[in-house]
Amino acid sequence: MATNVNLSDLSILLLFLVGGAIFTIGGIVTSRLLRNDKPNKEKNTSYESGEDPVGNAWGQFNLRFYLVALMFLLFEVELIFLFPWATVFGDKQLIAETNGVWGWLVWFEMMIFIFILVLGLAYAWRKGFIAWEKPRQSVYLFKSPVPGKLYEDFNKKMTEKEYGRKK
Amino acid sequence: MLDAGTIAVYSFAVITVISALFVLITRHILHAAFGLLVCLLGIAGLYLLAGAEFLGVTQLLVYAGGILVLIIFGIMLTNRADGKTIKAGNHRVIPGILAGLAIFLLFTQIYSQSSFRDSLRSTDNNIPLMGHPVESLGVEIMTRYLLPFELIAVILLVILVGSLFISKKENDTN
Amino acid sequence: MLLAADISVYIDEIIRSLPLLTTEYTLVLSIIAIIVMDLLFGKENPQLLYMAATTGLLVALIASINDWNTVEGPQNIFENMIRVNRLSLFLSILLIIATLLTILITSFEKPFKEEKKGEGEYFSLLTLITLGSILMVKANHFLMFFLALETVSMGSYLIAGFKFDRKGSEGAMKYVLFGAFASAIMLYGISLLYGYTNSFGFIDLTEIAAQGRQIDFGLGFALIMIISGLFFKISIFPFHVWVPDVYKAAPTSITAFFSIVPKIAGLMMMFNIVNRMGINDLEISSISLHLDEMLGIAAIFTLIVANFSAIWQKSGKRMMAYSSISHAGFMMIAILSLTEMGLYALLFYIFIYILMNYGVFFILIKLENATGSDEISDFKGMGKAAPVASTALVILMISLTGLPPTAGFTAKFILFTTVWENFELSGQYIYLFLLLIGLGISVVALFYYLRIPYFMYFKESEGKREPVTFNLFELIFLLFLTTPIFLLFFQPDWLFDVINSINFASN
Repeated sequence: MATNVNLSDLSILLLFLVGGAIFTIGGIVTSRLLRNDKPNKEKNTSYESGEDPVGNAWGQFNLRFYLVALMFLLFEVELIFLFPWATVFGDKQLIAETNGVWGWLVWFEMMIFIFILVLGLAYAWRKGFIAWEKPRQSVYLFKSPVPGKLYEDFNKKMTEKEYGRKK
Repeated sequence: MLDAGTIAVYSFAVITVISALFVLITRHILHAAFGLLVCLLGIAGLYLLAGAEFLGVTQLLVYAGGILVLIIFGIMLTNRADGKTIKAGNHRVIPGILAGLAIFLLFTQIYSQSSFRDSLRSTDNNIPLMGHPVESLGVEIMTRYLLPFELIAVILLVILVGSLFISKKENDTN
Repeated sequence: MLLAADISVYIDEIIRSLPLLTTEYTLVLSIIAIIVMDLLFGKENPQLLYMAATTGLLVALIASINDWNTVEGPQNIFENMIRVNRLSLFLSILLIIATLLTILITSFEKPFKEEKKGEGEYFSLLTLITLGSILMVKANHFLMFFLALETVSMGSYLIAGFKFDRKGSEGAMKYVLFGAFASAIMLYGISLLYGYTNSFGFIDLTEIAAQGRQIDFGLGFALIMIISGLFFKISIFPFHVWVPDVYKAAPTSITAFFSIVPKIAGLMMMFNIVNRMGINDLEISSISLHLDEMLGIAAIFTLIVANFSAIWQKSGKRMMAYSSISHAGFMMIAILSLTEMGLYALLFYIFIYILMNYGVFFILIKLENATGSDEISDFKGMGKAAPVASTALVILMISLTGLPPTAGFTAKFILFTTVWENFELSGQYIYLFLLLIGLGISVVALFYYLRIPYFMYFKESEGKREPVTFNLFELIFLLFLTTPIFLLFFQPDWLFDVINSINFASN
């Protein structure tokens, strides 16, 4: 069974990571199961620095996050394929054995792979799925019946009254 | 034979099965997503204990780090604005349990009576033995499995294009 | 450590295999071209994308015909992943022609909404599904088989929801859930098969079976799981339940595409697996189930369920969906045969099926454009309004049923002759049952196929909406589809000669 498998150091490290994550989650789950759970209406309201909360805290989730996560997943699968390639790409022994054909062949194959996926990136870029800034607000010109000069005179008068005395 | 390897395999297997059952039974969708996370971590542990470290790392990266994030984002997208999460129902419990038990008995029968051939250790597979498993995987991808590899690139491209398109909101201007 | 000879052997193998897959390279370049043109010119003139897709497919067709002329015997390339023989090249040509017909029908339907557009994505998805289908037909290794099947499946999930209303998305959702489950079962079966046979290729299982062609229960169960996954794609009972909903929810040109391309690819995939792995001869010893009897029972139930459900349908697309399930059942019968005549019958049936389905769906599209719905009762009065098209539709319906003087009759005749021959050869009663039920079901099918001509000719149109009219180009297209159906009844030699040039023994 598992006893005669030669675990490498990386495997042991990852097993500790995974085991640690499960252990933490197990601790949280156990505390949830064991604690007193007596909710009443006041305990369940959200904290608002002493005031009573108005409305609820849920905003509408922006769709962009989901699309970014989707793109991330697809490019991560590409990344998974890049790792083994990188370990054998420049292998001197293989290049020597095949008189240099190995290096060029493997490079071309991976370039085709990456080119096809760069097209996907170009599509996402061009169609605006990566654009993250807020769309610019259009300025709304309001024609006020009060002329602007009235505001400036008023401000000058008040400033002279305020600071003129202090000077 | 009670040594560390056997205990590890059994405990990871028990964790995986219990969290999978939790995903099925719970009514709160977000709790089900977290149960799925524990299940995927348990499967990654099983892969690592079986000696397939590249596959274990892939499982952690892609599944626990990509697909689970997508699932949770999807749950957050479909939450209603008044804060009440959508509750998953349990329909047709008895036929489900019967079908599950039947398949379990079927697989127990198969696995106890069959002798699987020792596959990768046999010599007629002709896998080039490089220093490290990941390196032999690299050589294999570039030579023997070249056609599926390039096909995967095309699939990823068109799936990316298609799924971005169908998720686009209609009044988005580009 | 590393054996020096291995790498050079692999590299030589790659160099030898590269020139034989020109069709696939052309399709990949076509996908890339469509996406690039969509990015550069997509917003101004979408017509350019139609032309790009058509040009790419035409070049792929020319490459396929060129291969058909130059490839002599079957070749295993890319380390046994792909097996190129004349059968697979013939099917590649048929699949590309079917995709070209789909693009033509799409230009009549124009399913693209004003806000969302999407021609570039549509054509690239269509080309991807075609590429996957061609690779499915040529596959010789379970890895390639699964990957090509998933290509077709995932492209189909995305393109099925292209009518972006509520019903369209619901149909696509059903397709995704059901399809993912079927793929999971099939993958489990493939992994179990690898455990039993230590190889991913399509190896001949009759060699590793015990005497009397018996296999043990686990291996049999693995085969059943793989066949179930394939049954989902071909829509055989009991995995056919997704078909009516998905076909109704998709845009009509995509429904036509679904009823032809993935189904034919799945059927040829099933034929290759059954032939190369010798499934027709195997028997699971502990429950004494002959695998070919199991396939035969599935075909019988498919025919019965599909035809009896089609009688109650009021919507044209759902009726055609059940009709395509029943045709898949008939083609499944051809796969079961033990002689070479089965392949003959299958190929003839596939060719006629493509022509008939595209004709009917084209007329459904015209109906939908004029009236906005595809109910059969909206065909009222079309006999007077468009006489040529109505005649063509009557010929198509008679061909779908399998009555003379159309080629549908010839196809079913060859099929039933094959079944009778197999019954005489092997004496198993399953073949007799298949023959009797096939004949009986054709009579039942008469009821729902002839309902449309009944509405066309014997009922008056209520005049509340504009009548369906066909202009000259569309009539020429319909004639182009229906004339071979007529001609192939009287002079089937042309198609027989083409099929004969496929060397059957080397499959």
